[in-house]
Amino acid sequence: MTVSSELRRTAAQNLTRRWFLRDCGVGLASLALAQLLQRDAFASAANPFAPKAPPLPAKAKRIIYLFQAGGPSHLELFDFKPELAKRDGQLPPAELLKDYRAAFINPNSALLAPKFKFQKHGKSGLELSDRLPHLAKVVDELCIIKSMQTDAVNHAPAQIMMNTGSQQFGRPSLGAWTLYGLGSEAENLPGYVVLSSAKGTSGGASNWGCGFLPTIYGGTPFRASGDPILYLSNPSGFDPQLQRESLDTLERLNQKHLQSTGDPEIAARIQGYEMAYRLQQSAPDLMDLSQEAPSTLDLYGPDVGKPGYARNCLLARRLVERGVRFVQLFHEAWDQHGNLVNGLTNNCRETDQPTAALIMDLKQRGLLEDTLVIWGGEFGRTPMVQGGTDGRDHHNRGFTLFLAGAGVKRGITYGETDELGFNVVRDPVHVHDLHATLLHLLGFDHTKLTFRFQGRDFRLTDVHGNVVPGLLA
Amino acid sequence: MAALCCLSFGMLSEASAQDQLVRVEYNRDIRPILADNCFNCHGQDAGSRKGRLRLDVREDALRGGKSGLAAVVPGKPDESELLLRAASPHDDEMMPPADSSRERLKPNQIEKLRSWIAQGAEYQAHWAFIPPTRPNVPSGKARSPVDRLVEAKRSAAGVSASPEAPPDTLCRRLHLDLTGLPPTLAEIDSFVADYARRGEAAYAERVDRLLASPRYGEKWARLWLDAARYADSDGYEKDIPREQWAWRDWVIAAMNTDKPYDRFIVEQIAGDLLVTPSQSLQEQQDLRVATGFLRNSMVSQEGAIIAEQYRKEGMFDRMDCLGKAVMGITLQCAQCHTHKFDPITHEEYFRLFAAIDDTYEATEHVYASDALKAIERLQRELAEIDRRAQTAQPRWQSEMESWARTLVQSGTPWDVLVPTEPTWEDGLAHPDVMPDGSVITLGFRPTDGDLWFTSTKPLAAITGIRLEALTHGDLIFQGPGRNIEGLFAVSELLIETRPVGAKNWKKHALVDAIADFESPERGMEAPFRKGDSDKRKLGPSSFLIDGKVDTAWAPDRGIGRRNAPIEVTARFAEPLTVPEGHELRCTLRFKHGGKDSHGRQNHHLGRYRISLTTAQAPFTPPVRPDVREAAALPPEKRSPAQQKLLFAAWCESNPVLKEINEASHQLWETFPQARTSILTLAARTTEDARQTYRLDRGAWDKPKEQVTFATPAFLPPLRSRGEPARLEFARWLVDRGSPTAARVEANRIWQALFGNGLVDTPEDFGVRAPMPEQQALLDWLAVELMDQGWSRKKLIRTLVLSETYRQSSVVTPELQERDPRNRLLARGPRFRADAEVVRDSALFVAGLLHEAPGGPSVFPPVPESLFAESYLDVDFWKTATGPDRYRRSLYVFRRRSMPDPVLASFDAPNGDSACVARARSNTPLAALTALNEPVFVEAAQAFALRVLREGGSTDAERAAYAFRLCTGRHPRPDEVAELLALIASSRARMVDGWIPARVVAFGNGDTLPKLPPHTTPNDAAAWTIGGRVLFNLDETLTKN
Repeated sequence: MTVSSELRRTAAQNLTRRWFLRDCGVGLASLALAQLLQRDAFASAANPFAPKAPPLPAKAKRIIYLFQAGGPSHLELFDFKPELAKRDGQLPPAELLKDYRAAFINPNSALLAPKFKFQKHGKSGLELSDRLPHLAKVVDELCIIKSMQTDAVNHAPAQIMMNTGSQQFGRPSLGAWTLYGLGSEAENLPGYVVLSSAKGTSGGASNWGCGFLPTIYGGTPFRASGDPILYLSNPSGFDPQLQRESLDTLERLNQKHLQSTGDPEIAARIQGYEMAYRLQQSAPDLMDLSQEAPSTLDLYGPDVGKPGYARNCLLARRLVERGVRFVQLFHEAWDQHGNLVNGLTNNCRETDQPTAALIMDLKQRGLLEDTLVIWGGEFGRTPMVQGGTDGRDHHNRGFTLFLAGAGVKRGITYGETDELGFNVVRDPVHVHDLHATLLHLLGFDHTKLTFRFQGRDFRLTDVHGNVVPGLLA
Repeated sequence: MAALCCLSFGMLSEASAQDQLVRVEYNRDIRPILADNCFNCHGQDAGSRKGRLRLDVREDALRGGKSGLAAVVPGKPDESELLLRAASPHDDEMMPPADSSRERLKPNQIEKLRSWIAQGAEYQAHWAFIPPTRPNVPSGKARSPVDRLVEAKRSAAGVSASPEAPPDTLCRRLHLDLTGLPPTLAEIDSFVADYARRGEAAYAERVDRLLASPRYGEKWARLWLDAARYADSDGYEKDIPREQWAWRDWVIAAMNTDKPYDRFIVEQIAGDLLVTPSQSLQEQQDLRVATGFLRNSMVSQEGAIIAEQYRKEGMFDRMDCLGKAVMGITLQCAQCHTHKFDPITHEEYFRLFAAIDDTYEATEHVYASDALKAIERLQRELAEIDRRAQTAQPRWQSEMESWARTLVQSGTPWDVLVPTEPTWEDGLAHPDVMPDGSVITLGFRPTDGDLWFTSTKPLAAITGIRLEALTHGDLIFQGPGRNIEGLFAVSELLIETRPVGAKNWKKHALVDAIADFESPERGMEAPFRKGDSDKRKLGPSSFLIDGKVDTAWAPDRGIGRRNAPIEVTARFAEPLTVPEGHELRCTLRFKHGGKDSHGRQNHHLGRYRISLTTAQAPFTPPVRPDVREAAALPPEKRSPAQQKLLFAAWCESNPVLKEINEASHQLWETFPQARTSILTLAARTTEDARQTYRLDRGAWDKPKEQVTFATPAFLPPLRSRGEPARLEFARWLVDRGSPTAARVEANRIWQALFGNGLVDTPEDFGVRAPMPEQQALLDWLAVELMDQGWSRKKLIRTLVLSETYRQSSVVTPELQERDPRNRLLARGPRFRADAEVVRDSALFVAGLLHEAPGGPSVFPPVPESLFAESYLDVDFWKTATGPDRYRRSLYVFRRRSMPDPVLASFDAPNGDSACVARARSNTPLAALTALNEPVFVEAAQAFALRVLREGGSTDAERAAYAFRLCTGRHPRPDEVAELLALIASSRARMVDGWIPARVVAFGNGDTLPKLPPHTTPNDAAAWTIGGRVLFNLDETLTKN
């Protein structure tokens, strides 16, 4: 950016600062004036992303959510059930099935033994499936919740539930709430970035939507091919200098109009175009993995060079390094109604190493201290078989999800399912409880982070949710 | 929220000082405090009430709660528990409780409560629940009551109006507001000249011309499409494309013909119930298409879903939409419990729900107008043929009746085999058993697989089996199949038995299949054909039992008649016996689907019924199941349609009428193709009526007591005319006595023109909504709307003719400081145009816009990477080329899970739920879109050629021309200079070889467009660069 454009920008800010304080749009009513004025030029005119201090002490400054869409089988990966192995082929006890609904199968289907061997790892001695050899190396960092529960048994509603706290479309996602509450420290990138691998998710764009929050708080997908951000590239034939000159002309004309019209919205628009330019500068740099040390690339495994989960894990680290508040990976691949053994084996081959690498990488760089990593899907899978002998149906009554990093206990498991991995028998963690805990880690009382819509103060946890102290370090 | 900011940043002391002087009003001052802080636990919801205290009703507040202490003692604040608690410093007695998430009341709120109690604690009914009456309009200079009402508020605040905007600005404002497109320069010039000469008359003429333009409907339909959550796809996981554009076109037409708002609503909720035989088919079709409104809800097509669960989700969405878009009441809050703030109970919610619950989720054909005329002609000719048959057979009546009697009495006796647990292979779908023993499958449509049921009923000496393929209102075109035409292909019907618990099934062969109608053998066609080597066949009923899964029974009576029931009978090769302790399995095997696994290429049978007989063969020949039904009724009990059906069947059976039957068949062959289809709501038949239950906590599978339709107690009662509940509900919604209907619509129109509603929360006029500062104005507009026959055009005309609307939008720093949200209306509206207007304007000024009305939505170019995020393979995206690429954005395909990246970045909603107020964001993504998105770039390139062609021969002339095309005004010299500097610098860099002019001007295409005479590619490139800047000016993107 040229000096003159910087000066012009400051002028625009000065003009709008007063307006900003008076009529600043959403979410800033509670923002301390002093804090606002202390911030540098970025935290100014009409910038709803301005970083905001959370109201309570926070452990986590940012979140990387590795969403394993489809419903990974807790029984094959994290929650070993010897009893299930013993009762392979038998019908589940009738009392378990009272009021129970699976998605596809008749609940009265035979039990299916876990497909993989489990082994204890690390100092913590946590048990993991033999398909997760890399995660085994960082097992002492993990906080494994074996007692997750959700309300939905179909993919789309369950994904929406996990991401927005409601099965109904149209609510803001966890990432959007986070950005709404905390703003972003990324000056040249969106505050909430979404990366996808495998296929499209059942929940679609609503998984990272802003719901009724202002549009700006929604996730910005970074694309695996073409422009990482849609329409990031200038039209053919426009070189950087032409782009800069065009934007400078645009800014000067807008500036003149601001002066003659007085509408502060014009200042905001000037900012929007400047931010667009900075995105154009910073996104290619972000995507350029040649800056990474070979040892780092090795850490993430052989797939890191091509679009996919491994590369997305590395990009997630690069994004949080650049101040992005919330990074969410979606990997829709875990719906093993059949092909359980091969499907899971392949999925683990693709995701185990990069997931572990991300945790190690963050730790090496000191980022794990204040970055929270979440790994999990929308539900688990039935202890009962689906189809022949190699599939499981959707299961919402008990499943596994793990956290690692900022503010959570390390090397523990929390909660327990019964001997068949069917119901939670100790310390249940409902989706709402998880959300309450995540907001707590970010420095919010989940009952107080609200947004008035249609006459009601909405919150991520609706009218539910309790912080789970047992997860907190 | 802005109001909140104002309050906390400076107006606080001012406000509380005033409070002591003026009388405190419950609605304005007190209710908001109580609603925000108290009603959650002390409101009308008895379920969540604490301490048995209720504060929303005066008597209850005076009586107090469990403690026995009066919460409010009129005139005595210091004895009022409410105030003592609110002001208490002690954690254990303060209210709201110290441990709740609510904050303490602010000192000025406590002061307000004190004054209110001191002044007698008078309650008021909520303003919005009292029907609007025409307020007294103050006298004044202005002609329009709108202006006089605005002026009264404004002068009271000591602020004066802004001068009128310059005529060119006014012209652009009018064109953008009324048509969604900017004016041409000729239109601006003629307006400016005419306005100077003839003033008011010229202005009004322009307004009238624009209101009469078909573009008006395309602009104003969008508002309702947002509210009605219109989209071109089903939503949820698969988000399959749907045909619903006929409803979108209906809305556009309704806007253009200025269909009165009350009628507009009634037709959309109950149009099908207004259909009468005397109407033309076009009128009947339009009324049915209108009911597509409520069907804009999402439809889940996920594997293994329970269809009823998602039907209920759709119903909740309909209620939500009606609440937000029509009633202005947050109905959905009462879905799970009694509303916390507004006086609507959980039960009342479901009593409204009952009005629209007794419906089929129907799919119907939609025909073009000439096709409808052809059908009318066909019907006349068929009637004529019937008359010929009756003339030829004068004793037809008695002959037909005796034929019918024979059919019923001496037919083969069939016993329905009632299934217990019908199952789809792998649980992919969950079929249901209907009371008549038939099996219906809704929800997911597996492509291939087995659908079976078992029976342990002992059977002996069964000689034959009958399979009826039946229609149903919830099936596409009523079925009986579930493929794209409502047809089916059953590859095999299998009957097997085994001792209960045995491993293997024994198959029982069937022979001699006969159906009441047979289609010839034929190969598979698109979209079911799986490549060249696909040898599968469709054909006659013999294919059902031939033991081969690559042949399927797939009857098709042909267009116009194919969606009818059909039956097939077959004989057991050996009589079948199922002894005690044995079970029978009846399987329909489907192996004739296409490649797609998402249900789009299935060949299911949606509803079927199995019957068995012990009669000795031969059996009486099969007839259409609905003919048999009609025959069984006494003549006077048959509907005209049944009578016709029976007559046709009798003719068909009568060899004497061979020639006449032939003529009839030939006529049917000419039945026209449907143009498209539409999802509608259709009334259920009486025998299939649905009962509505209150759902505990709003859970779909927790029905409690049965409820019937009734309106909530706090709203005016229904005046029943004995019409069906849904129609009465629709009429009641927009009854003149409704307190919110007209206000909601007037507010919506105001919001579209002025940027913000008079009520800030257009979806919520309930007690939590901020009191509108301009309530008198809102009420005047609402009454005016009704008095003018609910004409929206007239109300819009009144508003745009007002001086308030015509003010300049230039704002002084003082006014900006004083009234940032323009609540006092001391200046004209200025806000970024809606997504569609932004895109359409660029296409329009570029000369690219292709104005063709209606029809299927078009697929704009989108980056390939977008498809990677789709769960469903996006194989249907036929990117528009040619003129369709540049249609108005209203016609851009709206896929819910894959929001159009251009429109979404300018805040167009994706249709997941009703949207009655768009956000107006300002993001870098929007900037990148308008700078770089291909259609915008193509528009800039076309714009350049236009400027070269029309804008003069020098860059200075062109700059002025181009600027004016985009903004509608003449640029100032300094503005021209800025633009020229960029043009000059770019030209220099082209000459130096830094900028590839051809690429900039024409993209990477192979063919170069024709340049205007005496111009060069460098000229075109320079003005592409200039155009791209002008398209992105704030002024271009904004209604000024």
